[in-house]
Amino acid sequence: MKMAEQATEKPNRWLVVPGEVVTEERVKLGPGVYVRDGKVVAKTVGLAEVKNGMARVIPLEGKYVPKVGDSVIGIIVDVKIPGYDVDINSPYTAFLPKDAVEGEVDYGDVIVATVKYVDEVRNALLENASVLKGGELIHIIPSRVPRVIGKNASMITLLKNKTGAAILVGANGRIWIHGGRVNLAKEAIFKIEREAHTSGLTDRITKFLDDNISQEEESDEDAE
Amino acid sequence: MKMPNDIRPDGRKFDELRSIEIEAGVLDQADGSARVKWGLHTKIISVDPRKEAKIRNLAEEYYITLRGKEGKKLLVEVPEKILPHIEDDLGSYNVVADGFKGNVAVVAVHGPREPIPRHVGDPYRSVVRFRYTMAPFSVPERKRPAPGRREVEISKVCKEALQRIVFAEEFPMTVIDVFAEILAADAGTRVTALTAASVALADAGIPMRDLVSAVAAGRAFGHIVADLTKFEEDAPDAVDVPMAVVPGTEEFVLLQMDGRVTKREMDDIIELGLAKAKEVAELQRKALKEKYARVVENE
Amino acid sequence: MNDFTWEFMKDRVRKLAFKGLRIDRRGPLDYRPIRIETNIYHHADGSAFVDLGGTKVAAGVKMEIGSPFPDTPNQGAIMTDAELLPIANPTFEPGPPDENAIELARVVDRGIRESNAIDLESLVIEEGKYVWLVFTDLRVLDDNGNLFDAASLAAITALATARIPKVEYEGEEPKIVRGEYEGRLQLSEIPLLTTFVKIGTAIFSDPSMPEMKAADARISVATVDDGSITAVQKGAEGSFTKQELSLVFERAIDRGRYLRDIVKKVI
Repeated sequence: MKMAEQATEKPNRWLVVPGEVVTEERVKLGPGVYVRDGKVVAKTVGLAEVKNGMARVIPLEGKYVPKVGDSVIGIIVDVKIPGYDVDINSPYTAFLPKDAVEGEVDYGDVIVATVKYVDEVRNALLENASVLKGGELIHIIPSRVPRVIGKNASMITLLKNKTGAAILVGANGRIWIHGGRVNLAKEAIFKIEREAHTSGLTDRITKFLDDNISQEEESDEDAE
Repeated sequence: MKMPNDIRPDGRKFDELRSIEIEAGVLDQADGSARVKWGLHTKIISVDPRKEAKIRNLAEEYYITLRGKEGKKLLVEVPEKILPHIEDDLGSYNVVADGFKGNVAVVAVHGPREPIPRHVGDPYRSVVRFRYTMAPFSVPERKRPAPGRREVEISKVCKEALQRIVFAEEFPMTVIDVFAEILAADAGTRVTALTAASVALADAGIPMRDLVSAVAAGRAFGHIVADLTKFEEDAPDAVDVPMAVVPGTEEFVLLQMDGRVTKREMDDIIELGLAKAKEVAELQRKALKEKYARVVENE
Repeated sequence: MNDFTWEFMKDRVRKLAFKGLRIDRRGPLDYRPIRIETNIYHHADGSAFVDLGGTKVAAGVKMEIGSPFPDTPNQGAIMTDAELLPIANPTFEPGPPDENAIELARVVDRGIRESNAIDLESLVIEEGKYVWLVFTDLRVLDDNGNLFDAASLAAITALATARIPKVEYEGEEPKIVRGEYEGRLQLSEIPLLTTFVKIGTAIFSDPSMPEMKAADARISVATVDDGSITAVQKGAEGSFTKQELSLVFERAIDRGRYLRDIVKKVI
């Protein structure tokens, strides 16, 4: 293994698959990599990056695993005495105590909440929940959520402005869209999801939105 | 026409793999998926029916199959690679269609997900489950749909090959279900299924130490060969050794043997299998990356 | 999408249906894109792969020699089996066919059988002793809604492109010469299922997965070219009025023709 004062920074992120070597230099280990025979190796399909003395792989696929502080969009799947079982589209379940949400909550309701705590078997405890009424719910691969939000929320702001829709993005890949041009927002988000691994995305999405904005569309508000 | 000594009944060299086409992300409902077509590209040709006896003779030595009659002509299926070698024997012929004689497997991964039934869950790691099934029309004589003993054994060895390759400790109390369906078979179905499964797991974003690359090697008609066809498996001296390898570390995670060999032959077979498994690994990597290239093209 | 997300979308599907609109912006009678491949599984005597808007079904025909049923010594037999493989949907469990798989197989089968598309008397090898048993096996690989139509398309395409195995006598007994064929299976009709769902008062063709979940009732109708109906199956717990049924039958004939044109291009 090479020792270097500063790890060689590779100019771009590049696509890797499990087992591929990311770097042979001595670096800090970020997520998505492990060490084998002194080499840093990718664990998942994703974009590898060596920057600021750290190597990591940003996954392009994979399920959501709850993390403290994440904002998630869940669906109430069971009503119990102390609170509610919430589906957060993860192999792990989430629980919302009664006092962590305002008002009446029923089976099938959609909520946005924050992950307060994650136990050793990864089950999540939620807090600060609000019920979301109406709107449409879609699901994208959780690891691509950062692209939908964008640097300094640039992408999500673009989407909201151009479509006039309220958009809430959960770290668990669930996205709630309400009002405005719902279908256009949906299509733009799926496009971002598909092209998450490419660059120049903000420009392409801007163009996509502008090209399609003239299309007549039923707002879902009319449907209520 | 005299056959050069280093060509097999289907026209390949001793260490040559069949054609392997891998596509990742082929199913919508699965968390990860892959389809693998592993076999020989063939040509369906029509010849003078009077050549039938001669062709049946050829079929004893080469992997050509008579396909029956169509109108006044006799149809024969010939692996592409052997066609130039037997042209003189065939006389004049017309190519009627392209064919494919091999294994077709579709694999879906669901997971990590909640264990059902609950007691299957392990508080320390995710449990990998593998279910290998074959379509009734995947084999020459229709197979009853219910999985038999062979399917159960294959499911077990495949599951064992994959359990430790996955970073299972990262997902306690979950299961990772792998379902492999064989739609066409021609020697090497478990190898095809496992190769596809590895791609499907990666496609699902499940963290893994590496891919798992499978291949079979063995002996047929007096030679040590890679990737036997059904024709070679039926050879009187046939030995079939399916294996699966972790390409980055050269560890063997699946190994079975059927036949009778000397230790020296076994060493050679293992050596050959290892080298070929690495070729398979390259194809698996390409397939996973191609999925993303496809996206950019289509926009 | 997981089960709960589909459930939530039911609401939106219903609201749009109230105005005659669909969630993917199709017209009420529009089918999703259809892709059919034939002759793809090497050992099958006939085979097809259908992708109907993401729903994927593989079909294979195998013809075996068997004895006729005692009450029909001069007829061969056709049999259809379907498996909803766990591959296709995270909620499908491994195991023998459940009620959904069995219903799917039997409805597809009835559409073909009752149309007399295959002359069972032509499947006799030796009357009373040896007949052809034509097995059509459906393997569902991906469930994006409307399995019935996808399966029906796959089954009939596999049958329409199937060849008859060559038979040779070993003494008194006819045996199949594996891999060799003589002649093609003759079909006099192309029966096809067309499925509709009722959501509120709206009736839509080719339901996608969210529409299947939101549907009050569902109906599949098999038709042939001359407009005859050869099978009907109502599904789900809701109901249809007499007028709705009449409308559905009319549409089924038209949609059946649409699908038939697509099949004719590949066989």
